[in-house]
Amino acid sequence: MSHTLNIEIFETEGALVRLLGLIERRGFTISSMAMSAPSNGSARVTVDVAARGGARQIDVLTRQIERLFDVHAVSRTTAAETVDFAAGLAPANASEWRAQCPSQP
Amino acid sequence: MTMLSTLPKTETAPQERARNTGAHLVVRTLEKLGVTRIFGYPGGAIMPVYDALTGSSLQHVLVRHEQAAAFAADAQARITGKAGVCLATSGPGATNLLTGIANAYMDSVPMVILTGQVPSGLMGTDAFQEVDVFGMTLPVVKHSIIIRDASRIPELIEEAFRIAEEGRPGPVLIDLPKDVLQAETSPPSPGAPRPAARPLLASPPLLEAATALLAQAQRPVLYIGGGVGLGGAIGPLRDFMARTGIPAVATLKGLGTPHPDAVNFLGMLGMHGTRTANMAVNESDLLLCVGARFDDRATGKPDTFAPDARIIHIDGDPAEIGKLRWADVALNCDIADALTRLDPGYLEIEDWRETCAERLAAFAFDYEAPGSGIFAPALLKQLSEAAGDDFIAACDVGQHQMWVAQHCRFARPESHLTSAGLGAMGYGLPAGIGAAMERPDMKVVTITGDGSIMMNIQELATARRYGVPIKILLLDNGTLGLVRQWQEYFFEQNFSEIDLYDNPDFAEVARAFGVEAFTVHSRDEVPGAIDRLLRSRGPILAHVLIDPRENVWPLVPPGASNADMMEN
Repeated sequence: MSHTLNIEIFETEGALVRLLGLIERRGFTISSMAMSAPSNGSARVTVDVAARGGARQIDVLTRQIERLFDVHAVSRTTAAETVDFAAGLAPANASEWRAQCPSQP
Repeated sequence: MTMLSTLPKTETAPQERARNTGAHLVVRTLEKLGVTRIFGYPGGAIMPVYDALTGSSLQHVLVRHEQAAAFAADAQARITGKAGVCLATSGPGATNLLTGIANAYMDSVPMVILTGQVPSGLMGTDAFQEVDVFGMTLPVVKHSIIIRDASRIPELIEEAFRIAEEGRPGPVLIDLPKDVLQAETSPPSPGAPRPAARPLLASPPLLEAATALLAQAQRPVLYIGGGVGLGGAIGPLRDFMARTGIPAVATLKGLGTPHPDAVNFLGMLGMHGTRTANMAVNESDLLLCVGARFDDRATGKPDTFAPDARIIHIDGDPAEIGKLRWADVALNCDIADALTRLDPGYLEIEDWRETCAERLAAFAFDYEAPGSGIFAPALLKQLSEAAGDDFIAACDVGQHQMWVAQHCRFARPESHLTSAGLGAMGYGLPAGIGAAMERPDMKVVTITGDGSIMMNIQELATARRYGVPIKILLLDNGTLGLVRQWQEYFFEQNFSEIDLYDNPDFAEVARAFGVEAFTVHSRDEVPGAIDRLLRSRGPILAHVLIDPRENVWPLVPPGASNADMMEN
């Protein structure tokens, strides 16, 4: 499944390569990418990503991107089969999530 | 207005000009931030910083390989909780730091790494000693910065320290082009300090949900990781264990977090964990994971790890929640706050506690071994008992590392310095040096093997030069023991490239470096050797000959369930 991520990055040296490297390294492929011209010190990067294997979760990738100091916002425009950990509790689709995750019995 | 103040800048005396270079700003900023010791090695591009270090209050420790600078800074940081600092020149100096940076990243250690770089105009031209250390380290740093403008040096170094230390700690690299270090500059007045990040408090509904799960559980287990110590939550964790009576296990980095004598602490889990800990996790119906990350060395085969357990996951890092295991209740918050406010009362699980306690007694390690040879687990237990709460173990990587984890007693997590996530041979000696320089009042013992010590043996010179009060226990089995053990059991005894029959005489090597050393051959010499080691101010090395066929038990085979432990 492909997801589109909209990521606001600061216009700092290495921010783009840090972002794209993280996405690849954490097990996702990038099928398309666009970046806006920097304005007021930041730029918007839009990427379509898909997990290389079935095991990787887009929610976890989103939080890994949010951890970067070059990034100040991440949003996802396709949200199917996602888990909202911000809520902290297992959502109704937990069984679907479990089915995707190899660490589940 | 005086005559002097009307002079143009170019008329400033040369000496005064020199004090306003980027390099001087680097040194002054480190001083201002309270740094007292840095580990490094000079070279071309970083030379302006070395020039500025003259006369500084900073103690520079000259290591003999840049990797050791990173490991020593790492150990100092683990002990103090403040960012350790290492520096090196561009090119090979920077690449030699890489293993140490990765080590700090994997174990969440706050570190600031300063690297010299070729002048800005030459960057990207394959200049002499140019490597893109910024690019090379991207996967193993929390953050990194190339400083292009000397006037921003104070601001960016301060930011690097803040990032390295706040939240989940990690290494931050600062690359310093030589022309920036040499530029004269007048930095702007410092702005108002940034307010410290406020801890994220645990949400009451989630605490209630967690409390309800704990109250229902028949076989709950607390799974403790290194994040508890990093989150300043040792006190709340120990209190939680006492308040609830919940059986607890710890990861390699979690050791020392629970009180080592707590009756409900079952030991380390995972590949070389205790049978009691692994059985408890395997049978649990609720796993309360705190500051741990379901690492494969802890979980074994993931789909058989705690197969019947619901999961409560408490972590300060949101990206760890749900990464490898579903969490039924996820508390992304300050761990100390969550553990303080999570109060299910004393759990009514008497049968489960008894089962765990009985196993703890039944599967206790056996320290009796046939023959008169030196049994490393017994030696390490004796050493740990003799050193007491002042013990700091700086481990290398291999069988001895696992024996230390199994048989030593750690009063605090910072008593156990070990390359946990990266498993980097060569960590032990420089880490011991960093630790002993920081805490000369403690009994800092580097525990190493004949394979590992050769990875950074040159640091005996550093120990000698600075009179570091380090005690080195070298367990020599003439082989790469952990690899040999795996070849014995998982590669049909096809022993490949593990025989170190031609090791040098390590005691002679140490003496050649000017370090006191002695060799221990038999079991009856062990008590005297431990006494001599601990009484010596150091540096001192005990070269201990152990049985090359000794293995680490229990062992979960790679890719197997933790329930399928192999025993001797």
